[in-house]
Amino acid sequence: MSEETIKLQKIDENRYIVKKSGLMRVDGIVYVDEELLGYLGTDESIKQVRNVATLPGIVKGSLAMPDIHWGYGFPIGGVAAFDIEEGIISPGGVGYDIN
Amino acid sequence: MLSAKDVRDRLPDIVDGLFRNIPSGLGSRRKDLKLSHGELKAVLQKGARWATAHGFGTSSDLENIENQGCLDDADPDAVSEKAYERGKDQLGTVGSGNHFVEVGYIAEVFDENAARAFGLFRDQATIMIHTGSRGLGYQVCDESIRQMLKAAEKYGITLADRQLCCAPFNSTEGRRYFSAMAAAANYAFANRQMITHWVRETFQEVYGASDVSLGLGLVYDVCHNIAKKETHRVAGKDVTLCVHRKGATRAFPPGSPLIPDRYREVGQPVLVPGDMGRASYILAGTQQAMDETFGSTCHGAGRVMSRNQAMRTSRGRSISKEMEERGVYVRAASKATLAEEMPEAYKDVSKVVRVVHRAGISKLVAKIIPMGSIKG
Repeated sequence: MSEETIKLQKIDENRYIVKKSGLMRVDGIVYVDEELLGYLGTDESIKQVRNVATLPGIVKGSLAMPDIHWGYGFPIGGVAAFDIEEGIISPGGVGYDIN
Repeated sequence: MLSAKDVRDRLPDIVDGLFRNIPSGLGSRRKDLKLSHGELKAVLQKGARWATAHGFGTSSDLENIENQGCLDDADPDAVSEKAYERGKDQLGTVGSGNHFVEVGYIAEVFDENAARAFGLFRDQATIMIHTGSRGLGYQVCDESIRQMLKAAEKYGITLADRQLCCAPFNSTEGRRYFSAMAAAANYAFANRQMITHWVRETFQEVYGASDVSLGLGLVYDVCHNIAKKETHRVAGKDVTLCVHRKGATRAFPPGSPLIPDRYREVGQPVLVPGDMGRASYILAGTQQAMDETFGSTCHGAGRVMSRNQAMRTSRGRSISKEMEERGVYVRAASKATLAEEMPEAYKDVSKVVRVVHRAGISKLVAKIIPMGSIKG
C-alpha cells in the first residue's frame, strides 16, 4: 500500500482503532496507551495492522498487542483470525520462530 | 522450595551449570544427541510426549503445556529434508537472538488467589525458558513463504504486501503449511521439555537434592508464534477459525476446558518475558480476552531498537559487566547477542502488561525480577 500515514483514533485509555477504509475488510484494533504509542512513530507496524485487515476471511478485526513492532508481513504482537472455510493461512502470520 | 536467597548464594554455580548443560548460541547443537530421521519424525509427530517418553521430565509435565505439548495436526512428511537436516542435532538447545534460560524470583504478587493456584509466592525462585523450533522451524517458514507467493497468485488473492503471501486454509498449499508448522511446533515443545529436564539436572547437581524437593515443577508452557484451529464465539455464533498469534500469547479464561484442571478457576497462566535486566510477568487469561482478542494477550516487551541500532549503541560498553552491576549474572555464547539484547533495546515490559491488565484481556498475577541467565 502507499506511503501515507495511518490515522489511529483513540477508543479509550488502552485501545486505538484504525478505521476500516479502502481494501480493509475489518477495523484494526491496537491495544496500547498514550505512553507506548510514542514508540510507534518510527515503526511501520501500524501499516502492517492495516495490511493484514485486507486479507480474505479475516474475522472481527486485525488486532495488535501493546508489544507491537515490525515483523515479516504481519506485525509482531499481532493477532488475526480467519474463517476456516473462507479464510487464509499465512506463514508471515506466525513468523520464522515457530511456536 | 528454593528462595531468592538460596539461588543468590549459588548463582554463579547455577548459571555456569546451565551454560554448560544446555548449548546456546547461533546454530548451537548437541554433540551428545543426534537424532536419526526416524527419531526426528517421531519428535515432529509427538512433541513433548516424545521427550517425556525418553526420560526428559515426567508425564505430569504434559498437563501443564499448551495442547499437552502436542499438536495433532502435525504431519512430519510435510517437512522438507533440509529442515530435518537442520533439526537433527539442535533438539535441547537454546539458540540465539532473544532466546534464553533465566533464573529469577517472584518480587511481587498482584493476585494472591491466582498465584496460589499457579503455585507461586513472594520471594520464590523461578526459572523461565524461552526458545522455539530452532533451525527446523525457520526452514519450514522460509520454504513456505516461497510456496505461498505462488499460491496467492494461483488463488487470485490480492496482497497489500508480498510478505502477506498466503493460501486458502482449505487448499493443498494451506493445509501443507499448517501441518508442517504444527510439526515444527511439536519440535519446539519437545525442545523446551528437554531443556526443562537439563535445568532440573543442573539444580540437582548444585544443591544435591531432588528436583521435587527443590520445587522445580512446571507452571506452564505456552506458545507465542503459532496458528491454531480454534472455536470462538463471533456475533453470537460458534465458528471455527484459524487464529494466528505472532508474538502474542494464548490467554484462555477461567472455566475453559482447554486449560489444566488446577487452573480452571483462575484462568490459564500466561508467561510474559521482559528484557534480561528489568522484569518478567506472569498473567492469567480472562473471559474478556475470549470476547475481544480470540483469547490472546501480549508476549513480551517488544523491541524499540533494531539489532543493528542496539549494536551501535552498545559500542565500547561491556553489557555483561553492566548486567552484573544490576545484580544479574549473565553467560552468553556471543558478545554480539548480549549487545543486541541489552535492556534498553526493549520497551519496559511493565508498561506493556499494564495495558493488557487495564484493558482486561489478561490480569496481573506476579512479577519476576531476573538474577541470572544464559543467552545465545
